Amino acid sequence: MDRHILFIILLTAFLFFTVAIFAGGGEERLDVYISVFTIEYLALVEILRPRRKLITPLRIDPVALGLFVVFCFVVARKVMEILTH
Amino acid sequence: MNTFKAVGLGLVGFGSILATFSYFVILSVPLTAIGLSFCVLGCVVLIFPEYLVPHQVVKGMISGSVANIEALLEEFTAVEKAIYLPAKEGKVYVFCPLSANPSYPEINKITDVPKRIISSVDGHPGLFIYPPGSDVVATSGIIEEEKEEVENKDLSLENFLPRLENVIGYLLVDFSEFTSKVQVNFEKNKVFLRAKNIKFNIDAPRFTRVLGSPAASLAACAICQVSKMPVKILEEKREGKWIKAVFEIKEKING
Repeated sequence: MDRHILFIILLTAFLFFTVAIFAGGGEERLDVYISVFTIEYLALVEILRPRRKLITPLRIDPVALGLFVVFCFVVARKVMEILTH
Repeated sequence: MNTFKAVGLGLVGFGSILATFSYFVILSVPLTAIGLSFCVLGCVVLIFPEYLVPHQVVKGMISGSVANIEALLEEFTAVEKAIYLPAKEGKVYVFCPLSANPSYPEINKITDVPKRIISSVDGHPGLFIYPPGSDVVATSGIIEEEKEEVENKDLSLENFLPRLENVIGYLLVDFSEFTSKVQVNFEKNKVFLRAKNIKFNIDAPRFTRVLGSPAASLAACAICQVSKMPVKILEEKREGKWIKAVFEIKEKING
């Protein structure tokens, strides 16, 4: 099977299984979902290495960058929460 | 608008609406997460290449190109290692000295002669060939980005060598899918390449001897394009799943 198609199938399965499992466990924190999505995406990209349009000139994956920025925001918010309490 | 873009935008749009509605109206985190999943999938579809050419087609076309060059090298009984030369038009070409006089002329003289199939450079007959990798490097787009940076600076060897690993890795693993992993090391004017799981093997002994294997040839083209200096494959050998190749970067071309 072409690795690009495999990548989309696996990512879809991973994302929806994550939601199903977390929702079944009663998880109500959105940041947990986003963190796991980020890890799953980055892990799959590293394993399957699909060809994709990257942002030049640093050759950054825009989806990974977006997820990473959101992940950093979530972590920063948590740190601020802990510090202010 | 092509199908990929339409599907990607559709998924992003649907995901955004679902996520916003679920987060602010229904107040359901799992549904918001599903919406975000759609957004992620949509973005992935949007950044995928529009044309996924089947690997077998690419393989077949490269095999045909290699077979032509193999026949040419066989005809002229070329045995000496070729020199990869950077071209001003963007395509790398190689000079193969012919067996009748298997010594290498000065690099500056090679670049000055007209690019016919057979040319005599300062009394040294040789073949001018465009290797299959010269087009791959040009079409990948990676060198265009590198070129601006190279032109803006007077680069010494140490400046561009670390960048080569990125370029070679992208070309061999991501773009051409020739190998699954590459390691690049440098020492003075030599580049040491190790590539794992070569997925594309050809039965062209003369081509491999003169120009290197397709993977090594592509790497040589990349080094040549980035450094703007002539490159020669000194040696190439197979060690289990790995192939090891040593490239020598020759002195810079003047003018």
